[in-house]
Amino acid sequence: MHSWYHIRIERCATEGGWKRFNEMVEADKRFTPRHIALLSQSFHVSPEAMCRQLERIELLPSGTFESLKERGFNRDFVRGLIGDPAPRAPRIPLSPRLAQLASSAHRRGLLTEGQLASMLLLDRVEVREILDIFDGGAIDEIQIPVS
Amino acid sequence: MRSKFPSVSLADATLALSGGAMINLLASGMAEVLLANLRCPVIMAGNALAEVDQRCQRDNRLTAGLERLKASELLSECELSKHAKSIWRDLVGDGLADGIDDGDAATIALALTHANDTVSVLDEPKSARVLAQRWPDRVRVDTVTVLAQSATRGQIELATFRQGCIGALEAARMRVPDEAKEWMMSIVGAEYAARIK
Repeated sequence: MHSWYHIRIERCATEGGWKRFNEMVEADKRFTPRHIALLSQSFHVSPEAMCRQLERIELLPSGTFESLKERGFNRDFVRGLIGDPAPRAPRIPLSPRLAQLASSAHRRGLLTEGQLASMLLLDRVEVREILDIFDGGAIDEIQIPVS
Repeated sequence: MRSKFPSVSLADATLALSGGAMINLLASGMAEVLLANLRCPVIMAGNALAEVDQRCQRDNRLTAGLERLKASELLSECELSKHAKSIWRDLVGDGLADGIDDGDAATIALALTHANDTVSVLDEPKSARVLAQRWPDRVRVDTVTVLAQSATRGQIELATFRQGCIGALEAARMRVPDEAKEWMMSIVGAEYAARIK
């Protein structure tokens, strides 16, 4: 008998999982460990389970998780990637995915800080905080090839 | 060969400050002294100042500095002329690819219509790109270029100036462009620089 957790893991490989994966790649024009973290959060599974499912359905190259693990990608690391904004800035109620989209739009030169501030009802420094958290550091340098 | 930073001299220029740039300077805790040292007339559009006021509501450490600047002759709030307003409308309504926010658009419109030597101080890459594409002969600098002018520091001791720069980096999350990173490191020190991005 499958547990709820196994059912959730299986859902990652359904059409919904494919769709969300494709949306992310299309929106951000790249795929990084941060995206695995975001996907795992939305499917309520561990980053490892998410990554291995994406490998299994051949959206990511086989061995991706092992490679990331060697570089320190684990549950605690993921918490640092998408779990910090709220405690540090209680006025920033964005979901990690929305913050990621905002950051991506700024990185690609589609929106200015001021435009994001206006859309998200934040001020410029709060937007900069989101941009610093979601678009910076060594983790975003790791680009995972997607199929 | 690495180019010398800052590559732009602001002597005799008038500065049209964006809201983002003013927030950076206020976060240094020494905006008044820095702008007085620089001796450049500083102007701001109402829309850009509104962004600063908005930030002051969240971070009241900036309020006193802004009030002092407003009360002094160092900063003038300028109303956009009819011509400036038409540029502003054009910039904010230019769709996703080239449209920019109210404050930066007002800063550009003000700089363009104020005088030929008026320099926009904008840190935002998209706003800088739009300005460079549409008005390639107009000068634009970022906040770090203003800080790096030798006149700006004047007689301020390095330790005090360092604290000011760290204030801008931490409280305002001021951006440091790649070409300015070495200069910034020379001010804040390699140890501090290594802790930040």
